[in-house]
Amino acid sequence: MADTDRKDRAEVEVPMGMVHSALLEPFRIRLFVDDEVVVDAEITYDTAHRGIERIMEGMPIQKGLILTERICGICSHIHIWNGTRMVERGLGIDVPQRAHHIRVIGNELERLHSHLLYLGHAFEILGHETFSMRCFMVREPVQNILFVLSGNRVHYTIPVLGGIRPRADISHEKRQTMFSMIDKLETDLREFAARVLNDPFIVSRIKEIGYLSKEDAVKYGALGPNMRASGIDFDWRYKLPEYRDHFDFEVIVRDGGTVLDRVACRVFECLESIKIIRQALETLPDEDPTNVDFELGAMGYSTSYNEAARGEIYDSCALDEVGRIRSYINRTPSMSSLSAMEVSCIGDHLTDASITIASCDPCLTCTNRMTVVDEKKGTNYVMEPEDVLRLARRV
Amino acid sequence: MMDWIDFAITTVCIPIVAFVVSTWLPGIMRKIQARIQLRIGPPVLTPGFWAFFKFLYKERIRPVSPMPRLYHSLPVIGIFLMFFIILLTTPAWETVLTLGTLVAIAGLMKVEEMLYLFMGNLSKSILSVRMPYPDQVKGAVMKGKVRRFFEQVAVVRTFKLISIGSFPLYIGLFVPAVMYGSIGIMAVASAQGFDPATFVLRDLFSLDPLIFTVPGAIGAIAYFAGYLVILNEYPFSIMHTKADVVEGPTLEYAAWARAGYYLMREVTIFVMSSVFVTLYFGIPPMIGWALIPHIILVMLLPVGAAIVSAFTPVLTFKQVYPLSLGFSALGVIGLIVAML
Amino acid sequence: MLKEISRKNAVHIMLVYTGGCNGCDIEVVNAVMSPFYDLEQYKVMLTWNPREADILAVTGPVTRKMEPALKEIYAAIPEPKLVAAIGTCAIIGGPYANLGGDLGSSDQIVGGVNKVIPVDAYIPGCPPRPEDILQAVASVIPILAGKR
Ligand code: SF4
Repeated sequence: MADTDRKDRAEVEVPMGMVHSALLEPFRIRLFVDDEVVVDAEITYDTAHRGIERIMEGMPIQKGLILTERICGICSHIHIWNGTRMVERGLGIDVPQRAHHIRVIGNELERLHSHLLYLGHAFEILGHETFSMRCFMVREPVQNILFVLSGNRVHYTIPVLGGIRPRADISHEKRQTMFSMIDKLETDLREFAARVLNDPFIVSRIKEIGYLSKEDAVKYGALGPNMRASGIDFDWRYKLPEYRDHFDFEVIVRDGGTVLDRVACRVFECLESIKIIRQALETLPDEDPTNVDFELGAMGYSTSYNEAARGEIYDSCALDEVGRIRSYINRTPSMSSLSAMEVSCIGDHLTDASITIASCDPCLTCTNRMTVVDEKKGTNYVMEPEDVLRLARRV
Repeated sequence: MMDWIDFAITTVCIPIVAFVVSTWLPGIMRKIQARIQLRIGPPVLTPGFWAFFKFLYKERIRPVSPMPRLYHSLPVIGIFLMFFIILLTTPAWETVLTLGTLVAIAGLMKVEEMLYLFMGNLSKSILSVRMPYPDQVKGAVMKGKVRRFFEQVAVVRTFKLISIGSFPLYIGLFVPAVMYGSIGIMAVASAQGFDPATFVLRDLFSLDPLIFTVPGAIGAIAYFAGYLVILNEYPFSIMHTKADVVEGPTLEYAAWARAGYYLMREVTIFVMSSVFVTLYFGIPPMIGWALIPHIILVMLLPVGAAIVSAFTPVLTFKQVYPLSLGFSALGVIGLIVAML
Repeated sequence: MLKEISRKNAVHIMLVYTGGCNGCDIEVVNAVMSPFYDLEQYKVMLTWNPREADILAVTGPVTRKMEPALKEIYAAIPEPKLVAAIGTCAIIGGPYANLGGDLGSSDQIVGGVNKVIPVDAYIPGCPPRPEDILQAVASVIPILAGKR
């Protein structure tokens, strides 16, 4: 009761963004504060809206799939993988197991570099430059492994319809290089993780702030590690045959729901990722990784879910007779995670609020496709699930 | 007559020495942090010296501020305040003016802290409210009568820091006074065996510095904590943390005014450390042999600050209050021990 | 004399992300923050305050929402100033402004950065490697020093 009173009494607004050291990406936060305690928050994200789904309408699917990578530079692999997977499901294309393994390796490497980027960014916000630098020090080898694997540091473009691109195939030498790099990475990472989670200053800064209860996590739809840090045991990797049938790993679930749990959850997930990559490299089947034996053609409405670094990702589209995209839809996890942060930063100190908001690992470039701007009226609104469904049914 | 000549020379030379030495300090601090972070880091002169001159040569712009002239003059006031503090601790000024008491220094430091309050209230930077973004449109949350700039948030924090944060510093200032029963700075220095008229480098080892006694060591720790607060170094940099207020009260300084702000900060680093050396090592700044050990010892606190700040995140008031109360309590223990 | 030397020896860079895909952003962050590349050893320091900046590094295509903000921030930087457009998106608008299916390319994009503010250095790549960014930034410093 007292809480809502306070919420209404908020008289001071502190707007932040769009260019800000803690946000990096362009979005706008309005925090309503009482003294310096946040009592209400509004996060608006539409500045990075580029209309990528609209561009893809009517593009050949192969071209469109490459464009999905340009949705986001951090989680680029998962976008193209999920898109490819969706089309493969819709058209019933067989994919060799070797290709699946390499795609999984790509995804786990991406999870590693995304989580490490997240940690580095979080320490930067905490003002701990040294740990931030150390984190980038650990992260750089991951980028190098990705470079070895695919020939590019950011947009790797590994999957193609029916398999993987030949340049991303893992030859014997490549495999040895990757093994040794991963061993080194694991020792570094363990050392770093132990230091971070035992640092009294860091822990005293991030424990007990940004609390997100299990109920709120369900209500606002926090996804991925944010949800698992609040005690919900769900991970798409349990359900995907690519993962479920071949790899042995744990899903990290913590009950705390605070920023500390979100950080710790990601740290431990990194170690699990290394485990998966190692298994995948060890059990890599020896076969041709690409199946070219398929016909592109009309495809009904097809969907695919997957587990990105930040949580559940969803793609859907249909194809016309010549294989052009109709009504591509892509939903990324940051959107609902951010709205969960809108509630979880309430009650924090202003400085803690910005780390709380960053602790859900917002990726605005993914998120921003969902805002509809009505230029004539000059207003904007964020799409509700019903709108998405309505659009999807328009096919 | 000799006294007056000495007074004039000191008045001219000590600020010049302070300027020259202080432009090195940010670079040294940055370099130490960079080495801790396993990278090369900028050359030692870059962050302090060259940055200062670069800003001097930039285009002069009008800051977005209700009182641009007052806003621009604040760093200059700060620099002069700091020069005044260091001159008060010199023996030459002591013989002529006899103003050099700890109370005067504490008062001037308070004024220095207050400057940030004025800065924050006079600055309206682009980064928060003035950012061109349709915040108050249909559908947005519409509450709140005041839209606060980052600078004003920082002012609230400065105020809290003034009232609580810098307490350890003042306790640290007065430990020597209690120890030697005098608030005169020269009295404190001479109680530790310093004699400005006859000092040569050989005398250095016959000094009896306060810092090597129990109350002195405790007081020095409290002083160091207060030093971090007054410099707004990590971990006490909540006033201009990157997490929310970016740079706090000084956001609007550009060109020569920013050069002034840089210098003010550099000189603050130097002067606060110099006062520490005068009180705890008993070596005041003066034109003479004592200047050499003085300047070497002045490096101690900045180096310590750089190391501490490389290993700590910024603390919020949840942690600042207990920490600063703890250091104050430590200082009080020092005071009690000094009295016994 | 002192002017040129001081400008060469202390440069502040400010980053503005105008809504690209993050790929360029993380490479810039890599170049600036990672000890592997460490922009500071080339006397370039990171700042978040336009009043302090000399070089404005812009990544990503300029979206309609960011256009006024970018202009304001550019105006807030005192002369002399340089703008570096990092990545294909910042140079020509990237795939968003140039590719398109049935509905044409995106109308939420103004285009490259040079449609909004004058640009001095173009760093191509999608995304450019951190080494390229370092080299480009280091090579524009003499231009900065030579300005009035
Ligand atoms: S140039 Fe490429 S990497 Fe950079 S923002 Fe554009 S699409 Fe992303």
